[in-house]
Amino acid sequence: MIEFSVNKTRANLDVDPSTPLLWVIRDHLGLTGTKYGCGIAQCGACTVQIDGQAVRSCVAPVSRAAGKEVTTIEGLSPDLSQPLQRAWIEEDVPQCGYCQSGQLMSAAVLLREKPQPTDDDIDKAMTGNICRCGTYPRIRKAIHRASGNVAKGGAR
Amino acid sequence: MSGANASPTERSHQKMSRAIHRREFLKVSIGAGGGLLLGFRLGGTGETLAMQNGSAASFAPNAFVRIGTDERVTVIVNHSEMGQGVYTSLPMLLAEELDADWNKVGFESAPVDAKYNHPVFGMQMTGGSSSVWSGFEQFRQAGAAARAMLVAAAAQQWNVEPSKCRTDSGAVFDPSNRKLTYGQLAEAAAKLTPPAQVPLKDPKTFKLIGKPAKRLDTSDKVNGKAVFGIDVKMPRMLIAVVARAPIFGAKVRAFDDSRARSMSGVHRIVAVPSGVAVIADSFWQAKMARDALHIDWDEGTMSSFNTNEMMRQFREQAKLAGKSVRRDGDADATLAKAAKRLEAVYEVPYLSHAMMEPLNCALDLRSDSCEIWTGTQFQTVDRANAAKIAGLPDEKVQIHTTFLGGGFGRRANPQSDFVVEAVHVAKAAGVPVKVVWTREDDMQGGWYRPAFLHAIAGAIDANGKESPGDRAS
Repeated sequence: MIEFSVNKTRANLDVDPSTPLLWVIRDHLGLTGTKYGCGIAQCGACTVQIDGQAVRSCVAPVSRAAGKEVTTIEGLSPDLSQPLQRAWIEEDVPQCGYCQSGQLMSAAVLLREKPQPTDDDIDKAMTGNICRCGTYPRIRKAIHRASGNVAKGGAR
Repeated sequence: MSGANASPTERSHQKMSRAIHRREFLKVSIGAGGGLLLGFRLGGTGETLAMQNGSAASFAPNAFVRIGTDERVTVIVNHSEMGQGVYTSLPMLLAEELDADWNKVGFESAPVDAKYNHPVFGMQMTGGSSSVWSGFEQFRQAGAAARAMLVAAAAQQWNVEPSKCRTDSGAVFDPSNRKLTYGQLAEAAAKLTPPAQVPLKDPKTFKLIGKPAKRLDTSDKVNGKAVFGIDVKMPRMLIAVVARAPIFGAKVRAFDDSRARSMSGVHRIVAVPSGVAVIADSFWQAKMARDALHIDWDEGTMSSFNTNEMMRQFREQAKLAGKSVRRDGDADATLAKAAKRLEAVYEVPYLSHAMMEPLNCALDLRSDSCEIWTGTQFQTVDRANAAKIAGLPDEKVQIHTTFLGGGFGRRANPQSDFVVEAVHVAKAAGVPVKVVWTREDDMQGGWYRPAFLHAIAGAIDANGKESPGDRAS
């Protein structure tokens, strides 16, 4: 039995402790907002937070979450009110949308650690999150918007 | 998610021309219960996967729009949303002519039906950067027809000339500014006969087309609610991962699943034409068991093929005269007397499309029906191919098009490889099943972008100007 909390709800699961957290979140808990992209921590689509730290859930065994608080995209806010979600909507960031849960979860950690990031801060923090549609300029713009710097950002 | 039967109630095998299509789509169907317009709503306002069936009564003047007594305008989109924005751009076209309130407009993916065929390519599909231009009149006409009927319904109630009425933001107004909303008019409009000919707006009066609009699918893409094929869930559903041939055309000679069979969560392990499928409770269990299989492959004739040798052959072939497709002037003579001759060879290898969302396909296969949930660009072809394997007539097979985590053409191929394989797996599963490809499966699994080699030569004359002359292989 592995016990942890997901989006403030307690989960108690009888699952092989080596199972990647991603598949526990998706298949066992039915939270499909967290995406599978590569399985080897190279694309960022599976990014969640464990105790506030960005984690690639596709390579993190579920045992790593034991006793901890996991936050997924579904837990970012119940009503699209998180500043990043609002900025993402305002800037029309997503295209196909598949990578965006991971982008948002990484960006949320960045803004907590650096509330006023520069372009370089953003590029560094977001470099592990791949977008096949190429929404990077809007992602950067939206992060600036969420940090309160509406005018900044976009293509340099 | 319910397995509601979304088989179309009507079918037409007519190849679509504009004239035929108009008659077809102007048929009126009343109420939201008609299987034809069933689909699942994917977004817009945050609700996800709520079947629209049974919601507010609605006016469905044609296959592309439904207007509810709750004022909601649902545009049924016949193209797949893979990032290019068709769940917004095509509703904009319809909403423009309808004079809808854009804030009340939502979208729904179309079921497979000839009504939703691409007006130019003659089948339901998405590709070639063609959705907006090919749907430009189709969606506008659907909106204009609906608007004309709403105006007629209002004019009847007020006993005024329809031509004296105007429309704006989801309502009809008479000359004295009396107002009836589209929702208030929906039931009355549903009783009217669609007009034969509907004039379209003068583009100068466009309010939506050509103006920036926020995408309708963004909310669900920032809170995890958007349902991609890989996210589909059904009661009792199992997950399958397939061990596919390491070489194109290779076949399973024999396999040893003694270890895999005993692994936790594994239900069945079966040979399918593409390889060996492991059907389990969850993806990870299926994948671990798949990786524990020992398969003896008959590698077949492609085992000696390699792309280095192929490109070498291409380079040799490019030196030959080749087949002439078009001849303007005398390129050979121009090149022969050129002051300066420039030559270049461009080579592009086979490339995986590398969509962010690996291939997948979910199925509920029963003795008399087959429901498919997947992100596809090729609905008509996929349905026909799936029906063949399922042993069902086409109309018993329905495809629910989910969001696509990228397409790039990989989800449009004449053999429907990822759909057909899933039907084979579903036959063995006996319960709803979702086949999920790993990233590695997806990269190695073929239907690559074609490799090519392009040799080009050009002539520059003594004045440094280009001379006509081009040779391509």
